[in-house]
Amino acid sequence: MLSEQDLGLMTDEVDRFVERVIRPVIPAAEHQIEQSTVDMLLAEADHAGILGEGDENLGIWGGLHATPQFSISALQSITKASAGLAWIFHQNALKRRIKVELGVSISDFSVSYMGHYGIGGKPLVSYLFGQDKTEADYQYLKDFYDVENNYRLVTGLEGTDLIYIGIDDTIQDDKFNLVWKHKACETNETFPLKDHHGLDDVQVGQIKLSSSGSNLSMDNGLLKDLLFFDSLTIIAITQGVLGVARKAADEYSKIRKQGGKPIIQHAAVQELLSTITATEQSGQLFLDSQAKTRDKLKGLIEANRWRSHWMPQACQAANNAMQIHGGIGYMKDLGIEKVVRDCNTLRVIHGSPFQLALFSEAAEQLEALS
Amino acid sequence: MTAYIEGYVQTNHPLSLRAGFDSLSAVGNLLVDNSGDTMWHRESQLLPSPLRKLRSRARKFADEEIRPLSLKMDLAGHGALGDWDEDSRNLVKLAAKEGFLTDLLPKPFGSASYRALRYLVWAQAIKVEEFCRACGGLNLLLSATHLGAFPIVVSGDLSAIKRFVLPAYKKTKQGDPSIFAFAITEPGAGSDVEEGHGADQYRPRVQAKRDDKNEGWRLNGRKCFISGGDIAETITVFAALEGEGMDSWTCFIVKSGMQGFKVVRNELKMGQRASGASELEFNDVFVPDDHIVGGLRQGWGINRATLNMSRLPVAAMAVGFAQAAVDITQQFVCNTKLGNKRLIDYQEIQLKLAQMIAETSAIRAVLWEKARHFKVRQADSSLCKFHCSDRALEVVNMAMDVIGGQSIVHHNRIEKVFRDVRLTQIYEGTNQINRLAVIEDLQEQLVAGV
Repeated sequence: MLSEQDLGLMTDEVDRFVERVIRPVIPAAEHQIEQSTVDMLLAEADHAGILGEGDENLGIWGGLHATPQFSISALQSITKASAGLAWIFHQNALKRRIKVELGVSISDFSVSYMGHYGIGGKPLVSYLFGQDKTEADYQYLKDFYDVENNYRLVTGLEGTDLIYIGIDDTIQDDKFNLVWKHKACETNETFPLKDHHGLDDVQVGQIKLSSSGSNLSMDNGLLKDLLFFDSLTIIAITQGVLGVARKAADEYSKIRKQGGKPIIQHAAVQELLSTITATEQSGQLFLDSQAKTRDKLKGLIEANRWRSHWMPQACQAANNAMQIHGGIGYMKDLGIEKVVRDCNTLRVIHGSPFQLALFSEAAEQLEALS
Repeated sequence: MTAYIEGYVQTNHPLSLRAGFDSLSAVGNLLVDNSGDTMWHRESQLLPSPLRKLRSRARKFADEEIRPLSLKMDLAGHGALGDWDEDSRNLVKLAAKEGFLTDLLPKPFGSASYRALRYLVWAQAIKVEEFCRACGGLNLLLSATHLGAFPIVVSGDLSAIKRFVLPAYKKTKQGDPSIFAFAITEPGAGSDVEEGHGADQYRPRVQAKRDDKNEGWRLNGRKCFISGGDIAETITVFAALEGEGMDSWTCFIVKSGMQGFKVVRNELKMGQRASGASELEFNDVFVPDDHIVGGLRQGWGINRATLNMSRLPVAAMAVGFAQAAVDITQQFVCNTKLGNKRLIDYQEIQLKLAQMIAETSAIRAVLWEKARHFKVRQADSSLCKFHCSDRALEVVNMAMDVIGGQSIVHHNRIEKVFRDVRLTQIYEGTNQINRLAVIEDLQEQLVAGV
């Protein structure tokens, strides 16, 4: 376990990395970052130890000695420069983990472990808890993970190789398992998106396979870890985005005048600002509470419940920041409208609020039963 | 597709709603509607005949002409200044021929029927909702011209109506659109030009200097975020007289060909992108005396009256976006399967959809209730504007939640609806300003009630 002092030093290092390495090379907020730039930044982050591989790795979502604490603060720091890039760093860290755990030799691949709609509902909860699965659960998850008949959304789509979760085709002794698969995709199987709603500074795409990939290995708890890290990341990036929004709204409201005085002196604006701050602070409190979590399943349930409750508030806070800016906030060159789109996107990817609520409640009930 | 939804008995089941109502007596049948008509048809039945016809006509035009261009024009925007997309231009011509650009005035001057004219604002609201259900940007492209022409109409200045509106309408009806734009917003001053207390403190930047020699005025300054300013031939520009405050505001007619007038740029907006929001520059633009609308220093009242009328159509836009969200969601949940059943067969989806339908129906009801008055009251138009746009945004949020990750994909349309609806909380006065506008209008009765 890292000491508080070591953690502080590492976090400062990421802040410096963001200012010295990331900011100078990324374009204005409304433009997509070139893949070559992303690759260069990932290599630099690897060199700086922000990303790593293996049990001894202390980088984002690192090995045995890592806790979520560093990953959360590092991702928040990167978000200040680009929310999309923070997501890419998160995904890259997960890929490194997948690579090690599954013993994969390829280095550039896309990864997909979410189904085509929602977050897997009660059947996935049952699977993660190791509970007996019913025929209905099997049918549900078979459809959920069916990537040959449905489009799956993939953030950070890169290269042609895909590592994804599917369902084992057979039930044996009333049991089935999720399986990690590999597919070298044809060009007609991956569909990079243009003009997606948010996180549009990085590549997002869809996949639909014409045939199944080859099995790598049965899932042995890796999926649970990834889902937990995803949920924390979504909250961390959103919280970081709100920090950017609050700062911009705060600065603008001190300059912009209405009725002969700065708008920050109007109750209407003070109320909007206050809700942004409260939402941002509450997000940080939750992240702090999760910073040392070791029980990833429990953490996943709590994080999903929190996301379900908090993400709509975060979107409202982002909208408040835009509202404070008025007409200028709606224009692309200021970057506030991107904050709104990013928050919306983070609200719905990997489970939207009501789906997360149902997931958490299903987990609660299973836990009570067990 | 299965005609019934899981969790409910089939429609021919003896315990079904339909079977239960079918068994009612004649009296029961008089009191209960068991027709299964769509909500759209049922709501239309409430409308006066001319508006019912207008609603059908607007929906047909929106479905056939607007929606097919929606996604393309959202990405294309207006491009470079003066580079007006051919499809978009053709749509405007088509709408002109259909009479949708000239319905502020009755035939033969405009295209409104005399019967519909009794419901002037309600008619605009009906039309705008249907257009926005198909595309917010293209609606704005087709509707902002009314905002530009309205100051002239509301001024009651017959000479100005005769010289500026009638020729433009005649040209437009012949299929050669002559567009108007409304220019009040100045850089750094959106809300100040929309409410009295702010205006009292504000020093206007677009100013008119007297040119006695040529019997007119010289305009200088900039206006920003002017919808349709890039394609307008006639712009109603509000400017203060040199050295005076907002109480000297005067409405000037500026023609796009006048020397010293320039469209500086189009903004790159979050949504409603098929219509340009332009920054306009006035560099010593000479405006003759006969281009003043309603008289010197009459601009403030004309501006407020125009906003009074335009806030209800903004509320209607919001209703249209909410309806679009309902329709898109309905399509998605009926066509997407999970675990061998359609999404609509899941109770959690039904709950969301019901909430969306209820919210949309409720905001349409308040809009129609307030828009049916011939005389528009500020409290009514403002409360409609902020309430409908706030609730519509929630409906769109619910739609994105239901559609989930697929909602961020451009061609699935709902993310565009979000970007479009978001503007309704900002323009025609932010929703905060509109809340205060309700109190401003009701202040006498609020205080008197103590």
